[in-house]
Amino acid sequence: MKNRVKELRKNQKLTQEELAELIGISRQAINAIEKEKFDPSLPTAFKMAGLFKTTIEDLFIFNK
Amino acid sequence: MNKQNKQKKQTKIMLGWTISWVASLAFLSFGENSLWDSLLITKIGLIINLVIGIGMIIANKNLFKTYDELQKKIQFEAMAITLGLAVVVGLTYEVSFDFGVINSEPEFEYLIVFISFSYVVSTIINSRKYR
Repeated sequence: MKNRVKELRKNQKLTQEELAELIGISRQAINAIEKEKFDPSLPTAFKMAGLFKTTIEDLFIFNK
Repeated sequence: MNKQNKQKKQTKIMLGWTISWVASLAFLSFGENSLWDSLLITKIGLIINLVIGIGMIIANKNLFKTYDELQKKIQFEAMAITLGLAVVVGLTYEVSFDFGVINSEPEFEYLIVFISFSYVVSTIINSRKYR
């Protein structure tokens, strides 16, 4: 799934490690999400959206 | 304590239980052959080995709880591949012996080694896939 995680993370001047710590997942998971190799769970998506002060729909772009 | 430190701590606990279980099994096998000649001691040894084995399973379950969603996905995929390979290769091996295609009788130990090898290789391949 396409997403804006990398863009919003950089806007907030966060490293992958820092974002991982804030969300409570591994840095490897953040990297896999940014590379669109892995789709996060709903709780993780909500946490990310909350952290970036946006909506899940804005953060993750669902392609049918 | 953050999640990473919890995982490191739990990995060490898991390693401790695994070493203890393997050591107790090895000691039991060696002792039963060379150190004692008593069924009672063997039975006690088996119970101790079983209890340590249960401890190892609980430690593994606790370690799994410290994994995040990607780590769990990697482990699940590795387990699925390992289970499939163990059933398919194990049964092919057994049938091959029954039909006389191979001469060496299938041993349970071979299957354990094969399962361990498959699991480690699958985990490494899966981890690389999500890098």
